[in-house]
Amino acid sequence: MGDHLNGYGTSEQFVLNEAALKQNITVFIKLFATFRDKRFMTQHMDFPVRSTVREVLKAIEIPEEEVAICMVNGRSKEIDHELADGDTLSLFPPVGGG
Amino acid sequence: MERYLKQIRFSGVGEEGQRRLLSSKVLIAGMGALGTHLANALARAGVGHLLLADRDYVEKSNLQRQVLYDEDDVERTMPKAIAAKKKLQSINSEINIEAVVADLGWSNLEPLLEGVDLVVDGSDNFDLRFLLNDACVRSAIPWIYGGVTGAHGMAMVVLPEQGPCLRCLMPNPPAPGTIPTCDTAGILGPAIQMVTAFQSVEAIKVLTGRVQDLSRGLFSVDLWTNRYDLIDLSEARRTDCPACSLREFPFLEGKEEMQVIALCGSNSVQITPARGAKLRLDDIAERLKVLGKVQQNPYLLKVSIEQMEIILFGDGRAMIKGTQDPLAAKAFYTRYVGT
Repeated sequence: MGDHLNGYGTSEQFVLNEAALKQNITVFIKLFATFRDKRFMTQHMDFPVRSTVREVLKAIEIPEEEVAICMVNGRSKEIDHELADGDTLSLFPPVGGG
Repeated sequence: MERYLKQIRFSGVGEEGQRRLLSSKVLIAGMGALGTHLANALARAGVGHLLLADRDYVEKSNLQRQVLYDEDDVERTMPKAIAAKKKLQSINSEINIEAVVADLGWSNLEPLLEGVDLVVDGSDNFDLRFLLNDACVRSAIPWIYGGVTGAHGMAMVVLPEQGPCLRCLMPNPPAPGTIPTCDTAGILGPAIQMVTAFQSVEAIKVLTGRVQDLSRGLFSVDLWTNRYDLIDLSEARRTDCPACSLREFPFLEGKEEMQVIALCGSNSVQITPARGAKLRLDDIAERLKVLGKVQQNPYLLKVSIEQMEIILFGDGRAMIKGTQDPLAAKAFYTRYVGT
């Protein structure tokens, strides 16, 4: 990064400009256990920029209170966490029997 | 040591590892499907001191998966901890096994942790798991979560201070009624075996000091659709975790305990969950209708299962009719509503 490309600016600026122009973000969604029933196991989905986990849950029809673990890129996050382009979102219901 | 020859030959254990196992003390919290498989594995492996804790007695519907019990235990209504101890001592008479017939709660858990090197989760509810997490994080005792419903299973090792704890992943327990339980979603024996195989081998690693070989991930398995995942948790510890970072332990202080009160003269018990909830009564009715006829209005639902009747209100409160035993009522609520 930082090298001049044909005198038109740095590659870093180029990437930032491209992101600014984008209207949607793409999120990789991974569902586990019963969340997969009648849905999918993994899927790439587009959402408007500044979407949170809440918007994803609405789109895939999972009630918020049924989410036990919500991880974005391997870190636990709240339902109102704002997602970024390229994020991986993993959702788990409580698995509590035994 | 002859009994353990094949295990000693495995390079991960060796003679030194076996000696460590024999001098270890483990609490198995809950002796249902998970607990019986865990106890079976650890007793045979030669864990020197096992504490088996359970509040329940053996019923016929347990025999499909709860591996230490038999028809005679059902006939004699044996407490699970007692029946398990008897069976395990006939398998390995050289180890020390203590049966604790009790409902583990904040008031009785801490004395049981005296000298314990590891706690393994054999429970069937998140109230107990959050309590175990509080207690183990506070006392820096490793513990191993496991849970199963249907053909799905999950498990993880909690090494206090060295990785995420349960509350790093789940800041709060699930609301009552949002959890499919073994009694509503069913359970497959082999799913228990998968999860307890993970828990047992991780237990052996903890006890033999092979911390470098421990799984640092969340194990997730769906046997029916053939999915096996290990989700990387190396970045999952939270700096704002209420338990392992902020060191708040409300479950251990009894602030998050379900209230269970026997009501005089009416052969019923009232249950009030620790947190108010907004239940989706329609969803719960859907799950329970396979077990009995469900009557429902916008405020509550009513269903009779076996000899008991539950009236469940939208805020999670319930009246259990047909018993005056708070423990039986609590077990009934855990099984059919879920906590």
